[in-house]
Amino acid sequence: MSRPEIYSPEGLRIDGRRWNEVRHIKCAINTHPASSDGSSIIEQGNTKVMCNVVGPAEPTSSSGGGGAKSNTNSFANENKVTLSVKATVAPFSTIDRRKRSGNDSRIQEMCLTIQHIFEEAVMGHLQPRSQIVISLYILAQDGGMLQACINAASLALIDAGIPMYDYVCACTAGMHDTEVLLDLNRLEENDMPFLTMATLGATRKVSLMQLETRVGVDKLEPMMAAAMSGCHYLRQIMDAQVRKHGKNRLARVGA
Amino acid sequence: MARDLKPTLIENTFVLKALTENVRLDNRSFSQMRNLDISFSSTEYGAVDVHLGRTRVIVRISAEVTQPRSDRPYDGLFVISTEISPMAAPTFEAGRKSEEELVISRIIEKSIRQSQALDTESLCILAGEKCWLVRADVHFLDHDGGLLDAGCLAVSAALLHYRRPEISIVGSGDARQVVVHPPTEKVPVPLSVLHVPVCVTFSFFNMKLAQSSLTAATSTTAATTPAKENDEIDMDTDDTDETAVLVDASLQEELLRHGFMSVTSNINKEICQIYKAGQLAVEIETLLSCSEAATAVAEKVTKLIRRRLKEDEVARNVGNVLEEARAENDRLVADEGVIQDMNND
Amino acid sequence: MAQTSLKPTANVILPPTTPLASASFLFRADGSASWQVGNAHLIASVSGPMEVSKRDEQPTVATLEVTVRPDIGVSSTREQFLQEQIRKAITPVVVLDLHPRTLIQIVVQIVEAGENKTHNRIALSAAINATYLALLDAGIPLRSTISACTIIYVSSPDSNTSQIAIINPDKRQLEKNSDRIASVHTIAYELKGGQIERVLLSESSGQFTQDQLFECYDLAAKVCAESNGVLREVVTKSVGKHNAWRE
Repeated sequence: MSRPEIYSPEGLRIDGRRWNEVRHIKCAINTHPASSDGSSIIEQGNTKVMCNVVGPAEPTSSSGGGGAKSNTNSFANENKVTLSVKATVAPFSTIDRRKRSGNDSRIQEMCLTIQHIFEEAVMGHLQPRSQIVISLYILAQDGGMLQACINAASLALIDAGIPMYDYVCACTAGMHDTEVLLDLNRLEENDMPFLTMATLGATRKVSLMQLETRVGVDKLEPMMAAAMSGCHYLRQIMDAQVRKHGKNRLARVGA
Repeated sequence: MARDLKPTLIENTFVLKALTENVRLDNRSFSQMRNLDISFSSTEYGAVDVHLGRTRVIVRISAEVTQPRSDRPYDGLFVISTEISPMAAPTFEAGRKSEEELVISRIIEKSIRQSQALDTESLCILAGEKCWLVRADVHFLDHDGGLLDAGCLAVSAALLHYRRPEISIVGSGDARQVVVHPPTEKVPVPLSVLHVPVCVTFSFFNMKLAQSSLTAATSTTAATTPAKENDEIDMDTDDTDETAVLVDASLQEELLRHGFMSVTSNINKEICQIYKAGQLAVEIETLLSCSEAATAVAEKVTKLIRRRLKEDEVARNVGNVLEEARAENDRLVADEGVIQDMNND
Repeated sequence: MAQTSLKPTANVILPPTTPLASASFLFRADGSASWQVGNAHLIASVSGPMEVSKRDEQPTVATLEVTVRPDIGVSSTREQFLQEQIRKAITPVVVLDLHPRTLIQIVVQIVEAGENKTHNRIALSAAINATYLALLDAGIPLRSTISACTIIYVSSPDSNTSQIAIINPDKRQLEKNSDRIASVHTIAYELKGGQIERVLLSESSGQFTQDQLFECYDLAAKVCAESNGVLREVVTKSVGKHNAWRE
């Protein structure tokens, strides 16, 4: 068979998963303790994203607070923290090596999206007149870049000790004919309509929902439900990892 | 760049207070759009002028023959340009992309180009050699909120209205040449538009936040009574009503809102694009009902566009012998039949 | 300069319609106006006097920023040329030294160019008129009135008669005479109390004699005086609208 089967009649996907199984997740926090206040790496299947968080610190003129946004934002900074998000896509992250320019509007849009998500999730009123810089490095892409970025940023912010209301967890869900598939890889993403959703912890509150492909409105509900349960599952995994890291660290301090 | 207009605290409190009493300042209901007016140029094809309340957008469609991209020899090119000039509002700077502009251009791009509203394969003339480049130039003239919604439907309407010049291929082999016929020579042909995307933006207001800020505002002047505190507790337990959802926000509402979601859909009950990026987290049920409401709005708007197009067609054809005598007329009637069928569905 | 009303003669072709103008229709801009002549349709907006960026700040006068946006495609040298010409034509009339360290921002949007993409003269005269009306609508202090028009001279089909002047030609006239155009003149006059005062802009190209140019100036004076009437009408109407509450 020349073309791989997206979803076999036996209910198996291209990589052997069932419809409701997410890819293998490996995540770690405090991976770059020397270079940043908080850091994380997350691998969701073959998608790999690294995140560094610096802050809260005094706003620099080059990024965020001043410069591009000029004095319009300095007003808001009086009572809220300024978030700035930068993303770098590694040229080796996809099979065809491409040099990406820094002002790709798709990446800019993603940065803006992530900024808006965490502006709501971070208790920004506790750090007025300061800035948090979130730097994302997309090391490998195999579908679900946005979700991995959000999850990585969430973990890194927690590692930096920035007060947050809850984790922001993101997950994708697609629709293959009438079957919902959870957490798509790249091949599946190219083949079917899918949406990315991010929830505030294990609640029913949706912080982000993005859909970029045409799909019948009746198919939206099952996709949304699946994505939400995926988000809740991811929160468990991320929380377990954070707690494990905390225990290890405490043990070391105690010893 | 001129400094942005910041709503005052009084304005903020006033609008939110009104919303808690189910009132919008322009006396619309929460799910009501502003007055929508679509008009087409009487001289040019693919020139549309859209008024959405006080917001005004014009779109010009143009086409020229060019070379296709080497990796897609069978596809024509389609470009949407959405630069916002300071005419819309002095806060937009010529030549520099603001955040708002970035979001608007990306969503229009996703809504129309990425959803394949225009069949780019039909723009191919000679595979790998010649194809049409269709440009949609969106000019935002006045900004009173809803630039995105107005821009998206203006592009959709303009694509439907546009007629590209007829072409013929002369010669054979390597000597093949594309001849573009001016409208006086051959009747121009419509573009192949596969569906009509319509974008609707829902603005979210956190009523719990509104309530608490209101009580905070009143408590500075008068001591809070225990009864009021009880009310607040009631609000906390009442989860269903905590987000107010407004359709087609005005500029003031846009500046004050806590979050928004843009949904693009078409008359076939398909969602082309959903954009809800951060800000206020909203219950999943609310988002779902918004998406369904969007398709209803899309249906209404599409019908309006079709009606206006038909009126324009009639106005154009008065005494036009050339139009009546053309060979394409039969097909046009067939097209209209299809449109009618679609409307009846 | 003697002014008599414009009459079509054997050598002068008048535009089929008088210019169509309106003002004050945009809500965000401080002043706005549209000007329709021939097939050209332009919208101009004016905002200011307002905050100016440090880079453009001038200590004694207001900064005049003109942006011209094409109807189709991206801004090119054609728009750059228009920007510069408009700025030159209106600068002497605007009282810039009343608002030092401020910005007066003018945006001209071409809705329909009314001529081929390689030309810009029809758009230029329409843009000057629209810009002037928008400045007036925005309440920017002005010294006098401006009015502009474009006249083309085409060689007549029978070569023994002299050239024919077409005033503010539309697309059809331009296309019909495209290979017979001898010269193109865009002239902007300054008017005071409806009387022609000075030439603010004179942009001519093609082959013409000195006598012809002077003849053209006289003709343009008549056209400008007439379109000044249109302008006056629009302003009267919009001022009336703004002051309706007084009565």
